[in-house]
Amino acid sequence: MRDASAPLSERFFGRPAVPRVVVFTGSAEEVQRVVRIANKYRTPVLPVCFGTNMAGITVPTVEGMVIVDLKRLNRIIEIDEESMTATIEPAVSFGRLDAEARRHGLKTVCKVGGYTGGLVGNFVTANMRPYNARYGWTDPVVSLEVVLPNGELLRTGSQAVPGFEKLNPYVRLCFGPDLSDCLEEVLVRSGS
Amino acid sequence: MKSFLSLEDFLSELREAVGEEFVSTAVEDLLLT
Repeated sequence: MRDASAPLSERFFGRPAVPRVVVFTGSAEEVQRVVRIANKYRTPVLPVCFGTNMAGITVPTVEGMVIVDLKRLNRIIEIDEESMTATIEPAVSFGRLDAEARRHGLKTVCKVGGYTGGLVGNFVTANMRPYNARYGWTDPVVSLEVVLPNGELLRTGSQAVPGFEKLNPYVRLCFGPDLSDCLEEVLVRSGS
Repeated sequence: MKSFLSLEDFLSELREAVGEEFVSTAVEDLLLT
């Protein structure tokens, strides 16, 4: 039971703890390596990008954990005008993608995380869904590349298909179950 | 399974994985910035 006299933030998110180390990863492969090492030493891992999430998902609550800081993963890899999709790394903010999209004659959906917040963290781990006045609630995640807790790499949607680089546009519903929803649920639970 | 007691081994493996300059134990300084 949580202490009722604790600050409100602690009652919701847990008591903040001091991590042991911060690792600044520069690629998915490096994230995989760090996760495997953390497993070997039985140390919890917390991924962080901008740290702006108001649901407390970036607050370390276990003493001695590893913070995996993803700010170096900040590339906008591609904006496809025809399918109106963007392929981005986790440390791309709403503001940056919006500015780049406008150069392509596009704009991003509602900035649910604020201009300085990250899209990936908010859309996936916080399960946010922007509202569009014309189309209603939208599902902004088409395809994911995820490092699993055991260090393996998993791709969802059409990215899971061999030779996916030739597929355009990406599609969320491809062969097999929609793992994006499954992962979002897992990530939301682990972040709470 | 190794325990966390071997902190130096743990940090050494992290440094080898991502490069020495990308591993920091000055966490309190980082959290304040």
